[in-house]
Amino acid sequence: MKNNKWLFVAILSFAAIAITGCNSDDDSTPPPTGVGDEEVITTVALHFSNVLSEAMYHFEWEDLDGPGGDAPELDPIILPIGTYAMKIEVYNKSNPASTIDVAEEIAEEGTEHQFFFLPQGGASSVFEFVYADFDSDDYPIGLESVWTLEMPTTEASQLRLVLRHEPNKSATGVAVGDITNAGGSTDIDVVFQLTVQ
Amino acid sequence: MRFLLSLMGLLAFVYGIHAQSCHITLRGSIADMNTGVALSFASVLLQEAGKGTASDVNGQFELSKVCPGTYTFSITHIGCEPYIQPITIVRDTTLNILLDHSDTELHEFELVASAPQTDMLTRIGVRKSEIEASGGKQVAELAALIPGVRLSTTGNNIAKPVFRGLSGNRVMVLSNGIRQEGQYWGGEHSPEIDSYIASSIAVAEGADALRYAPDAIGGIILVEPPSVFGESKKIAGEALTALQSNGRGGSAALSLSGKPFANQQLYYRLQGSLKGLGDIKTSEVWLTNTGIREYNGSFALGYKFRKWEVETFLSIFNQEFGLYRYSHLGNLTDLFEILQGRPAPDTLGFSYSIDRPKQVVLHEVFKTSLKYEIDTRNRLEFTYARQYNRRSEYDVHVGFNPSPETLSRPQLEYGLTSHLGEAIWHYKSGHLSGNAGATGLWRENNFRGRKFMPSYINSSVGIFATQIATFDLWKLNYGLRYDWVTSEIFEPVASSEDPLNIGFEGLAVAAAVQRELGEGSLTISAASQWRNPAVNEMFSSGLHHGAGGIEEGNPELKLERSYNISAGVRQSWGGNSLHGIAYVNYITDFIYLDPTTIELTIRGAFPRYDYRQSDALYTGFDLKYEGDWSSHWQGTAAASLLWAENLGNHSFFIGVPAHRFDAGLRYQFRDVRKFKAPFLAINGSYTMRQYREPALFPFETVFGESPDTPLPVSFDFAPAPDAYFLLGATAGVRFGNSTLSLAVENALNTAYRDYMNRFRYYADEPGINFIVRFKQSF
Repeated sequence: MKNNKWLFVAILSFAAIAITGCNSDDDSTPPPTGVGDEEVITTVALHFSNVLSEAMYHFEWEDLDGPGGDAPELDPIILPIGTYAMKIEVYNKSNPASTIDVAEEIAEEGTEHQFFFLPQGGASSVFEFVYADFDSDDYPIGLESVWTLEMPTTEASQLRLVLRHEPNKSATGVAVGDITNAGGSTDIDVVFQLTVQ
Repeated sequence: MRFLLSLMGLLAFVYGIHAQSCHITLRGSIADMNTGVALSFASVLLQEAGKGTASDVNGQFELSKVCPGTYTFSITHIGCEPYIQPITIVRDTTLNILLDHSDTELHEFELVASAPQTDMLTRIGVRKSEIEASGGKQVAELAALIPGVRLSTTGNNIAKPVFRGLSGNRVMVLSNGIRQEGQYWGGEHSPEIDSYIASSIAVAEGADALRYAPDAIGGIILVEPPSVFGESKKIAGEALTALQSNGRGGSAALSLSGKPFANQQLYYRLQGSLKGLGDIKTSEVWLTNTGIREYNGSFALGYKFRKWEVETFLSIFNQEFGLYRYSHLGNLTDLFEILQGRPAPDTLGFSYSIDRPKQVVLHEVFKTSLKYEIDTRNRLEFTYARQYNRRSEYDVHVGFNPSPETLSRPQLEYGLTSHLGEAIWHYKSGHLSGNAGATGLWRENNFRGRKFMPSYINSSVGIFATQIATFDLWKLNYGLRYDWVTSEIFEPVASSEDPLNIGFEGLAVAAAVQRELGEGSLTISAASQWRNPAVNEMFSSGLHHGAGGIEEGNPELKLERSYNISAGVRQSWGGNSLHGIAYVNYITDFIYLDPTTIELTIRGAFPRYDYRQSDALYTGFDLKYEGDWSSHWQGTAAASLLWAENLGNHSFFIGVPAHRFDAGLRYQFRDVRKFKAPFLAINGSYTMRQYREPALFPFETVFGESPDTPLPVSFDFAPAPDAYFLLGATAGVRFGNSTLSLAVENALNTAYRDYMNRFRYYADEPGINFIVRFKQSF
């Protein structure tokens, strides 16, 4: 009889462990198939509007399925000589049912972001730009800018557009668009072919 | 019982097998003087012979092939100070030892002649004393004390064991007999094990490993907690703490164990630990956001009833740690600028806070096992275990204009639940002993957040049999195992089927022969094992966070198979011992990431890696020397050499450890009153530069030209770091039931980087570090 009592105690103790061991996490197990809800950028659109003629031009860089998978689609930039107001739109279109306007969010987090426009190939001599929008500390953001295209491109030229997260905006040259001392990490880094006619 | 002895793994090396005169067997039993209860899991050591074992559940132990002579004989039991006594052995001897557990003195030796017994299978491992001397370190760092085991790290908080050049899916880590399923999530995850729970760490390979799995083609690292049946007092315990200067923190652990009722064979062990460190400093700067927090606990109960023995075990592991803030990569340009010496942002100084990027890890195990002793030669063992793993990855960038909800949510979270069932029959008959059994494993893996790897359900069934045959000077060990593995994969990227079902099956075999030669032995082993491609190798797709590349799975992968041959020598002379092993591991259809092209993404250009297969060769040599030169001086030396090659395109794999050499010297002072065994030790290690490295990534061509630039067959983003030498020292003393030690690591404050650290591009390894360790038994 005495043995039975202890046996009962032992079994009860083991059962207690088993119950605590099995119950603790069932509710925290994610569902069998995961849900991809990453905040990705799929689309960068550049809107150029000629300040004199008010002619509009629109170029896009789009990769709807994100990194990997299908290759991105991109428009070459072809513009006549002139001065343009340029506005950048950034979207997350990975979910066809709802497009997210990322540019709006970049503007709200302006102090933590800055766009850079880097000429490559023959582009360095053909364009100049100034920032036209600023964050709460009066440093540029770059969603809006004014571009001057002074002469036609004569050789293969590219425009590289970079969005840096947490750049050091007060470092030398960064406020006028020099990326050298910007640091931070890259959110967007795309290259467009550029032709000025 | 033989199998249980080999399971202990408490002992490190068994040396000295003499053909002629060394045929003495020392056996005996250890029991509590007051209660008469057998004391199991006591460490038994003949120091000069380098022979050790542990008592089994009935308190029995056995050391065979002892040479005649005078030895220092020691017995250590949980919660007690080691007891050391000189003993002279001239013939087969049985010691019936009654331990007074309260003051742990050996009161009585009874000497009886007995029949000789056979030697037992041993493993290479780390002793409990060595584990305690490294208290507070991660489990992988403790495992790296074993010759042939190295580390693969990601910053200072993630460390994974590498055995003879292989790691990840190919080296399984078992804690308390249960495989760490979280290790299948890729290279940058530590084994989720509280290092304070370990009382021994050992490597199992060949036939010894077939009992656990077919797919650990690199080997199995066994982390064993002390047995719950180890304590006969009502309550006994130990408290340990380790405080370190680098990181300005430390860890503490408490364990309590006992047998609450005198007349009942009911045992318990309750254990917990806490750890907290802030930012780590290199030789020059603080590394921002490199702190860690950990809190762990475990509870075990054991009960013996007639021929039954039942044990349950529950453990919870919680860890949160930061990843070095400036290791975060937006794209290849960022990496290129860092490698070109882009100035690090203003260093923020020391902080305890852990911010993004960070990881939060949860690991829970519930295990219950039932053993039934049919008779003295046969025993059955049944095990059920359930495991839950969760890892949450918090990226540095939380999206644009995050809501409070987004801010608190990880970007990627994995969850894995597994159930394991196992039935094993152990037997011993004449000169044969062995085991046979079957295991079933079911696991469900899923994720939330950024899609990288699909969710899946995986199940496998395996049957195995291994045997040891002993004939005079020869010992044979052989086994085979057959496994069936099926996976059900949900929403696979590269397939139109959903869910997709795939299956693999295969045979693993291993054999070893050992011949005693004078005061030593020669062992030749051969094994062939297989591993099915993991789900991430077949179906991952996307940008690998932090790794700076796009990974694409390959659904066409076949299983990989290893052909391993090794030759090991042990030799003893006087107080010296030498252990060397040479190995060749030829792996057909070795699965690896092969760089293919540069792919454009919205964040710029990234190299794309595809999973491919090729034949691979890993070959190397591990050597360890230990010498007791006098009662004061001891010395050790070790070498670990490794060469690896991708035979398919004659290139080098990235992340193969470079050659390494270690040496240590220890001086033991005389006891000073109450202060026992004071010692001073210094050790040095020299790690060579890895010259067998892949080509350098052609940044200039990639950035300057079209993204279609062909890439080298294998590449790395920076040259392998230079060779480095590290110096350390330790001093320690015992008094009463306490042990105190003071250690210094990287004593010269050397600035260095290690090739096996994924963060070698960004930051140096930790600088000088002082550690105080204290242990109190009661």
